[in-house]
Amino acid sequence: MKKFTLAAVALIAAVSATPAFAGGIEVSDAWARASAKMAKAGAAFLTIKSTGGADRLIAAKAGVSKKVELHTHIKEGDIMKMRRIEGGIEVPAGGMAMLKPGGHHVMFMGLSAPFNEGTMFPLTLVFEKAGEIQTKVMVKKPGAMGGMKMEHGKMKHN
Amino acid sequence: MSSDAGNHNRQKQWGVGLLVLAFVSFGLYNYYQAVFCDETIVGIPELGAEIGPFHLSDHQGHSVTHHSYGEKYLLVSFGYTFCPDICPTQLASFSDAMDLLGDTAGQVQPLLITLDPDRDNEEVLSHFVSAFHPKLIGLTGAEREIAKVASRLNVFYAKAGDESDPESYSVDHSTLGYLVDPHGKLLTVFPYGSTPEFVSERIKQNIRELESKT
Ligand SMILES: [Cu+2]
Repeated sequence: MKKFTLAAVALIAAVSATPAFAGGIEVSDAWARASAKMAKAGAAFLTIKSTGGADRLIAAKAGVSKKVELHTHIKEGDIMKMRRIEGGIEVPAGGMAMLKPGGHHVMFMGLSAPFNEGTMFPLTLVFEKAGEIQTKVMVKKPGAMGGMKMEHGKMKHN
Repeated sequence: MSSDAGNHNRQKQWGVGLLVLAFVSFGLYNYYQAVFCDETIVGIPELGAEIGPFHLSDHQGHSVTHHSYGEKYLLVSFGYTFCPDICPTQLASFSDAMDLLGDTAGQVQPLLITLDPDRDNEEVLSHFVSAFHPKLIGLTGAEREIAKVASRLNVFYAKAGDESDPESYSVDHSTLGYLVDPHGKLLTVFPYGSTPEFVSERIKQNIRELESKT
């Protein structure tokens, strides 16, 4: 049984490491932060590449929460406002769209269970042209940055 | 001739004025540069602003005031547990900063004051803060008390979206972090995105400077 579980985990890991493709759109590196017990919200981040024409991410679907929306942050001075994106996220022809901390994310509201570190859950992304693309979201630690560096580290001081 | 002398005087006054302006701008520029790099920031509180008095409860249900943390410096963030990105990013940075403080860590108490007391009761807060750092204390309480602390430190916050649905609204809010001295006075602020190294160095520097004065 234990061996079987290990094999299943390895299989899931292998599947998720492979980018999901369809209609010239590739989705990779989907991840989320672990959420606390009783947490009602979570966010997922990912990278979208277009090897063909321009497309648009218009929706996301998942079974982990009551609502799944596309969100962004609007920065006004030091104030951050989280807002639903109207009209989707553009993927330029031959280019990329990044959903990353501090910017766009897939927002999960009304979580049915917390995101546990080290687990994965399926996410379906809906594109205007490429249609639906399935991916797996890897849950990392609560303070993970997904390989991103924070900005204010290299300041000069007199 | 007299009009020439007048011109000359006026030129002199202009010269002195410009010099003063240059000095003041340079000073301000240095302050903002030191605190914020080259970002434009609104809502900066005055240094020396007082965080207290307040009456709140911590995530274990104890009632606390501005006197509860004794001789400690406070590293304060404001946020809410429904926040999936901005607040975790800042808390992760402050948690790593606590670990980088070494011997100084014992002098610093990290606090998260919720801006969403309707959803963030003690139990919700306790699960949230424990995900970040064992020393992190979450504070909640009456909306009125939170509003008092927020206004003293110039923290802006406002609910956005469908307020009637607890599983949907978000809270727009200032994203600075605040370092407060053991007398409850603001020492410095940390912009959103500050690295743990930057935060821990500035904390050590502020404590060193303050202690060398006394
Ligand atoms: Cu969101």
